[in-house]
Amino acid sequence: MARIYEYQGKEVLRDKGIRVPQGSVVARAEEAREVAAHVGKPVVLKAQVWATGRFKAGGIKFAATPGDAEKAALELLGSTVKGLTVDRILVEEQLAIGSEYYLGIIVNDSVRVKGPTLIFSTEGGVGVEEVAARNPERVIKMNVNSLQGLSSAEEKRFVDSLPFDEPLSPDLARELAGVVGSLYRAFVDSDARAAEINPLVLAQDHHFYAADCRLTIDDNSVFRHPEFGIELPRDMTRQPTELERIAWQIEEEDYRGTGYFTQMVSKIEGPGWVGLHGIGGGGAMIAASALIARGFSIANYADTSGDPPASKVYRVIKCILSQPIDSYVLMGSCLANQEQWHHAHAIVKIFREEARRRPGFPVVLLLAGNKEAESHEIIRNGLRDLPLRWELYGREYIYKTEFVADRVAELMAAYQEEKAR
Amino acid sequence: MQALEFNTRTGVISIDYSKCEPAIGNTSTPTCGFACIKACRLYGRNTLKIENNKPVLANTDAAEIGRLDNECLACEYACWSQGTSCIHIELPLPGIEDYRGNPPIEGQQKT
Repeated sequence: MARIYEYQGKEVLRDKGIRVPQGSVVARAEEAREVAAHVGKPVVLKAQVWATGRFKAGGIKFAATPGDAEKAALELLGSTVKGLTVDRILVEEQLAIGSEYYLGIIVNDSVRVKGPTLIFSTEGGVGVEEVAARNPERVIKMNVNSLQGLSSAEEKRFVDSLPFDEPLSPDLARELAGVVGSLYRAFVDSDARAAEINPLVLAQDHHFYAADCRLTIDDNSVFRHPEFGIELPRDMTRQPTELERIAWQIEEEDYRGTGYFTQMVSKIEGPGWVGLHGIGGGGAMIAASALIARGFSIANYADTSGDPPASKVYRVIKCILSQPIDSYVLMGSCLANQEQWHHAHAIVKIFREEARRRPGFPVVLLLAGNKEAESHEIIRNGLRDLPLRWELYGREYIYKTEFVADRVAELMAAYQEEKAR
Repeated sequence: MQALEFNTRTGVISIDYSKCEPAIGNTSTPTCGFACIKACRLYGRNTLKIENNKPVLANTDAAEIGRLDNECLACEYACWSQGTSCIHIELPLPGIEDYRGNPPIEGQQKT
């Protein structure tokens, strides 16, 4: 799921008629002063980073005057919040808060639903899951028929079902029903997987405001929304690295199977880094756990499942090997119907090109599944004369990730010793 | 014609006939056994066929080749394994070589 920033989400909500605090996004401290002066009230400055808990992390500041706003912006811009660098701030009016609620719409993947679910909590400003666990009676859900959409009668019925301590006035109930309908339209028109307003504030002026929001866009629909400026439709909390941008080209216009690559860290320092290549997420996760337990660091996550062509697999491995890693591990432990010989041909091609550039490099391959024997024969023949420390395992090892980690440890130790000489 | 070069969906395949044993000898029983054609049948989509004792495109419509070919890379492997390495497949990934040069990976030359 691709994320958009809070300020972008608020633009979407504003366009649909939902009230949002007056303000604007800025990238310079002087602009913060100008926005605060334009608002003409005390403002809040919010770091635009993809992280929750920004207040506790120092990513939200308050300012009573335009001068204070500039000072606060100077502190925020360039700082890091939960490891993310702040390069944009949303400067907006401080709301006079009466009550806080939660309103959200998610794509419900449950087999019984397979469609949008509306969620409202009479407690806002905290995680809805937390409220649901603590006070389930405060959280109300309603499934929406995605083919028919949400009618105004359903909006009203939903609002009427909400467990407020004191009933809303008819005007407020009507306004809230309008917010529900507008959020649903924002959800649909943005091709969102989730659209949440948290908190939905009932301000002292007796209107509802989206004080904060989060919209995540369906990866497959990102191309329809150039207005969001999403570079990579990935569920990331940071901007993509240069290598991730390059790797995205593998997937961008090629629907054949998966060729996923992402880096776990943007900078690799020190020895012991493993380039991990999974075929299917489960096996890769188990392998990652075993490797981490041995004290290794995982440089990236890559996946080539869904029967991609060998060309795609080749390019993904090339990206993995473009990091300063000390070993390459393939966890192709799926037993699906994907013919593994395409992986075998890709492995042989890439390592025949790469081997002489990194003599002694450890390569541990676990490749199991359809056409396993044929695939192993291709790999054994293709790598036989290369100056690599390579080992190949099959289906009998798919549950023996500890063993694979041991092999990586031994080969990597020998490789590092050789490099040190 | 000394070489055959054609585009697949994301790459370029070239066959150097000056190094291709059946093409040079004009023989229907080369030592390689037309391994590239057999590989194309087993792993690919019959992109290649034998004509006048050398591998040629089974379809001359470039768009159709791009659509049909599954980029299995098997012909290159088969020719390396059983033939004379006269097939080369280029799979570009714009930006990757520059990236690898900065920062350089130990022992690696920029290509």
